[in-house]
Amino acid sequence: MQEWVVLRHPELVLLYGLALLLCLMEKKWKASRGWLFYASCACAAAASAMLILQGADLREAAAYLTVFLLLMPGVRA
Amino acid sequence: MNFNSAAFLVFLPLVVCLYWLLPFRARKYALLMASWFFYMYWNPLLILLLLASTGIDYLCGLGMDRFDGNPGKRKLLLCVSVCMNLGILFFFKYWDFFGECVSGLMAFCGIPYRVPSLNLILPVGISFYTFQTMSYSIDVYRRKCTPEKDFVYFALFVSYFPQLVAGPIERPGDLLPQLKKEHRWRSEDLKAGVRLLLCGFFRKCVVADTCGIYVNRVFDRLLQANALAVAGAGALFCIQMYCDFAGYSEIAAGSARLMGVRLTRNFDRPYLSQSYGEFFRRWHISLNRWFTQYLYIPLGGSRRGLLIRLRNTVIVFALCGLWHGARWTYVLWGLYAAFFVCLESVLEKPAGKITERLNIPLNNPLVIFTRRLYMFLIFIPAALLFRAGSVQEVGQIIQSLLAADFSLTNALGSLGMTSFSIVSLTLTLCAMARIYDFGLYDLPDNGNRTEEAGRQVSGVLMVLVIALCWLALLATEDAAGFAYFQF
Repeated sequence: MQEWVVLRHPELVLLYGLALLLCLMEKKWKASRGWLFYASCACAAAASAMLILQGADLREAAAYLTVFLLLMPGVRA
Repeated sequence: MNFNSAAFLVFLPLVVCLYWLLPFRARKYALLMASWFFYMYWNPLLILLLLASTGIDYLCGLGMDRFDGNPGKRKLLLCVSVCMNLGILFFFKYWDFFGECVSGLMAFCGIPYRVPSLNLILPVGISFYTFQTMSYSIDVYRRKCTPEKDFVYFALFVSYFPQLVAGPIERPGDLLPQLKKEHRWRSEDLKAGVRLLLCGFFRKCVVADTCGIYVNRVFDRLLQANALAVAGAGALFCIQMYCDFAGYSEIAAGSARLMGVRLTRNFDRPYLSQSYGEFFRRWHISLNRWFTQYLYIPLGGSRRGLLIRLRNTVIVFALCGLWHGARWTYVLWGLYAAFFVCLESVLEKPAGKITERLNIPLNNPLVIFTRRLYMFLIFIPAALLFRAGSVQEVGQIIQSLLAADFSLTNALGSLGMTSFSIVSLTLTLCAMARIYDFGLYDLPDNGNRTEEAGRQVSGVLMVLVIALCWLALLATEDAAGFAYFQF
C-alpha cells in the first residue's frame, strides 16, 4: 500500500491546510455563522478527491477527512 | 442480506418508501413480505424454519389463551413451544458439537461408537429468533402479554427485518404494540434514524473492519506472533467486537426508526463500566435481560444466599457462552466471565469495608479511571478466548503470552502496522470516541448557527469517510460480514 502520498503533492498539502485554516477560523472566532465550515468541508473533499486521483489509497483520504470530523463541533450531546 | 452490502442500500430505502406510501392496512403485509425476502436472500429454504418456529409459537399462544382456566394444558403448550424452539436450535447448531463430545467420551471409555455428523448449514440468526419466540410463549404463559390473534402481526414480530438476524431480542410487550400502531410520518424519526444509521455504519465499516484487518493478521500467523502482538490483537478485538455488534444494533435501530419503531437499546457504553457485573448490564443488554428473566431468576436469582447466587451465575454465563456458538472456546469465555462476576460478588462487601476504612473516595476520577482500566484489561483475555477458533488456538495464545517477548518491532510486524496505519488507526479510534453519542440523542436546536453547520458538515464527513473505508474494504476483499450473524 502506498502511504503518505499527500507528501509528494505540495498543492494538496496546501489545499488541506486551507481547509484546516477555514475550519479553525470558524471554530475559534466564529467568523461566519458556520459558512466557513461548509467551505472547509468542500476544500477537504476536493483535496481528497484529487488525492485519490493521484493514486493514493482510499484509507489515506479517509484518514485526512477524519481529522476534520474530529474538529467539528456539535457532534457530541 | 448483510447490512453492509450494496443490496441493503437499495432494499432499505425501497422498503421505507413503500411503508409510508401504502395505506395503514397494507403496511403489515408489505413489511412481512420485505422481511421474508430479506431473510430468503441468504438461502430461500431457510424460510421454512422461520415459518415453522412462527407457526408453532402462534398456535401455542392461541392454545394458551383458549385453555385459560386449565393450568396443565397451558404448561403443556409452553413445553411444546420451548422444546420445539430448543430442538430446532439444538439440531441445527449443536448436534455436531455434542455428537463429537459424545463420540470422544465413548472412545475414552473404549466403546467404538461415533455419532454421525450432519454438517448442516447454520441458519442465519437462528439463536435470535428462537429466543424471541420463546420469550413470547413464556410471557403469554406468565400472562405478561396477551396472545396475538393476527398471524400477520405475529409473523412480523418474529421476522421484523431490522432485528431478525442479530437482535436486539425484543420482548413481545415492547415490539408488538409498536408494529400494530398506525405511525404518522415525523421528520424527527427520519433524522434520528439517519443519525443512528450513520453512527452504525461508521462503527462497522470504519472502526470494526479496520481493527479486524490487524487482528486477522495476528490470528492467521499465531505461532509467529509475540506476546505484545497477541495482547495488541486482543485489545483491538475488544474494539472490533464492540463496534461490530453495536454498529449492527444501531443500523437495526436506525432502520426501524425510519418506520417509526423504537428498538431496545442493546449497548450502553460497556467500556465505561467499572466492574465486570456492570459490564454485562451494558453489553448485549437484550440477551442478558433474556437470560436474567427466563433463567437466572427462575433458578433462584440472588435471593437464596451467596452459594446459590454463584451457582446460578456460573450456569447462566456458561449457557450464555454456548449460545454464542457450538465451540468449547465460547464455553470457556462464559466461564471466564462467570469467574470474575462471582469474584466481584464475593469481594463486594469486604472491598466496600476496606475502601470505607481507608477513606478512598469511589467517585474520584483517578479511582474511576483505574477501575475502568482494570475492567478493560481483564476483558482482553476474554476477547482472545472469544476470537480463538479452537482450544488448540487458545493453547497457542497462552504459549505466545508466556514467551513474554515484548519487542515492539516484532509486534508491529505481526500486526502489519506501519507509521501510516498507526496514525490512521489512532484517528479512527479518536473519531469513534467523538461520535459516541451521535446516534443516540436528538441534539436540541439551541439557535447556534455555527454548531448547526458543524453538525451538518459532520454528517457529510461521516458519509464520505464511511464510503471511502467501505470501498477500500471491498477493493482489498477485507469487508467482513457482521460477527453476530453467525450466532
